[in-house]
Amino acid sequence: MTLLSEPRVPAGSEGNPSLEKRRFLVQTGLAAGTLLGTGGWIAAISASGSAQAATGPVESSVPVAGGAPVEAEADAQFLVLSQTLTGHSPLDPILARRYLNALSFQDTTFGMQFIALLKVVALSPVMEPEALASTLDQQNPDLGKVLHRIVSAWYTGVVGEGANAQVIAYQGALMFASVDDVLMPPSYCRAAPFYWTAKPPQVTTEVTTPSVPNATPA
Amino acid sequence: MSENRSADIVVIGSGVAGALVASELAQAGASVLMLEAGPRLERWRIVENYRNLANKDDNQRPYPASTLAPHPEYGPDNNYLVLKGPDASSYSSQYLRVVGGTTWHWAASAWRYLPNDFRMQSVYGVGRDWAIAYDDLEPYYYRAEVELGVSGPNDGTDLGSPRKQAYPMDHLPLSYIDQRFSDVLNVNGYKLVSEPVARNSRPYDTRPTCCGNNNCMPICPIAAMYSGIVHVAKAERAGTQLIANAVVYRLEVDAHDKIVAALYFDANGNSQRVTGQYFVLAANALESVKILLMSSTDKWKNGLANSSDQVGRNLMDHPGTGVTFLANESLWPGRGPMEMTSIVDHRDGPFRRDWAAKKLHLNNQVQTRHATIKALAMGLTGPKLDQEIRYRSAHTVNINSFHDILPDPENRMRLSDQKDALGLPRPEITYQIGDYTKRSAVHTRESYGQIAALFGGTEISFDDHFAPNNHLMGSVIMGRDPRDSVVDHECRTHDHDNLFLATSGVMASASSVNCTLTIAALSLHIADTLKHALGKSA
Repeated sequence: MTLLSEPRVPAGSEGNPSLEKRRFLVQTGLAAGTLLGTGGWIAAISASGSAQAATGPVESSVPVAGGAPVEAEADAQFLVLSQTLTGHSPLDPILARRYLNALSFQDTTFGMQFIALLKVVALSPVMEPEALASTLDQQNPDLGKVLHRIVSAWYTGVVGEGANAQVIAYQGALMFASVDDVLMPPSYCRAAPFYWTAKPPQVTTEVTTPSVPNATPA
Repeated sequence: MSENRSADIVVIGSGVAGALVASELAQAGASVLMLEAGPRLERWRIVENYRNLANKDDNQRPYPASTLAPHPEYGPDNNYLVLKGPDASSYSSQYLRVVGGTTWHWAASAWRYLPNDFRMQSVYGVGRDWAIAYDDLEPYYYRAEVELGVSGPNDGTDLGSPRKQAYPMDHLPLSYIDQRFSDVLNVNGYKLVSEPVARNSRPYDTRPTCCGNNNCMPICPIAAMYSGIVHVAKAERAGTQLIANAVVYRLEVDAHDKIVAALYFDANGNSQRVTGQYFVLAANALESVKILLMSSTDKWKNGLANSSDQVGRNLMDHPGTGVTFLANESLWPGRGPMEMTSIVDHRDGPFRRDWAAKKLHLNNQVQTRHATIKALAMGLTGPKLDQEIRYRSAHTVNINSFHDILPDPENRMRLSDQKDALGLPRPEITYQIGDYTKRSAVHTRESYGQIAALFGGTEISFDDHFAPNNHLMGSVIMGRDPRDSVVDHECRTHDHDNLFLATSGVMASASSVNCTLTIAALSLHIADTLKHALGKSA
């Protein structure tokens, strides 16, 4: 079924000077870490060093020569990281870019946190989302929060809260993928009238016991 | 096209009430001028506004408030309504000042009141009697059902409001969750029925059959659900001249107590004046009060139509409570329209001497987003997150309620010292919910617990705070005695015989069901009165 257009970026977000500045910070963070190659995680591992190395000052004096390729690499790395963290693959690269933009725009430290998370994930012996999350929640709660913020963005389609909340995706939000054999995102029509009388599938999975009771999504 | 400055009928407000009056009168050949404070909005734009909205629970946000004619907004709060009293937050009401009015977003529940709702004082010794009886209104209820396009149970289900004709459409077949609730509750002492709704179960009045977009609030994308915009269009096609962005701030009255003109600010803030033979104030229960109070003169010091001092008093709503739990079976709310059934075993009975009637209703809204927020708060990701969302989406049950409330003159709206952008006063509301309602809510909570148990409920969460349900009633109350009421049985003001009030504000009891169909029936009654007065009756 073809869905209609994704929500548009609110006027002023694209080309917004402060947004550009925040993207710049992500890029400089990446450039300073010199970890981005085309080899994905392996390249990241080889150049990463410790996660703490990337938590230094955000202001980098490294000039952004060739900004566009660096930006594209940041987008690519965010896409790969998102796929690892959510367990959903492939994810939409355009949405990935917009999530990264919005997360960076809303939190000036996100760029550095993202780099740090990249490194930790690259070094991790496990790549299953749940194992990664529980390890991080226990060993590095700050980066765990970053992980959950990224997952929350992809699932809800929204970055930020209250008046700052920015809708990146509606029907493309991952939450709807979990139920797309039964439900449509509200405002869309699933099938011919009265389909709703039929018995839907039974879901027997037990409710999960909260593993991190205090984790707060972004 | 030049604007007419005078008409047989001047209608103020373009919601379901005003639009029905305008449509009827224009079709009968009267000249009709309709003034709407807010702007025109296209359905597609409202849908896109919804899809771009971060807080999907905010039904007001897809309808951005006009600068010159603000309506209440809560995300963030624009403080348009100045709320006071012990239960102030329970009157944080939603309504829209846009062409078409607040039925752009509603559950489309199209109930008739019960005969006893019209004679609460006579039968139960509480509240007030209306100046009209159910039997007087019955033909108008049916006409309203035809106009709005109501589908309801034509299978012999007794909803307590005697009817002479079948519903214009049969009710929509129930969703799986509603079927299960019907099966389980009806053999356990409850009465759960298909709700009459202004929602198409077949193509009707050029609008399509509901296909379950599950978005009745804040906007039906396909117009299978009725909204006042339907009759705005009919009124305009029949020759009504609609002026949007016309904020009426004063009615002029002459020495013989006749209303002679309506003054409004146009979109540029300039004052304009229109005259008419009859005036129909249909600007909802609060904005209509505002206009009457702002129109005070030396003779009418307390505002027009207010010799009784009852204008703005007796505010009512349907204070609501709720419960949410996880059922032990997969019910999958969200397939079909947002609401299909109600539990109606406490709408009437001798208990009404002591505590409020109520209606409980099962929510058939998609639960995915709320399920996701819960699952994310658990710190889940990966397949476990997907499973959790799926489980909660399938098993979450939410039930809400409307409770009756008695008319109390101390629950009232006044003009605030705080002003809007045009310098007009904001509505200031004082509200307290009495023991009559609270006693009923205790019983409702017990019912919630029993229903949850019938479905093996876990994670049972009661929402005991009285929620507003935006059914604004009582503010220009109907009665036989001009000393203690504002309008008579025709919704004509006791004080001004060419001024009619087409609003739920006239309702003298709240009952336990949505008030829109009764507004529509009363508006058609007004239309007939005016047709007769103009010599245009068929």
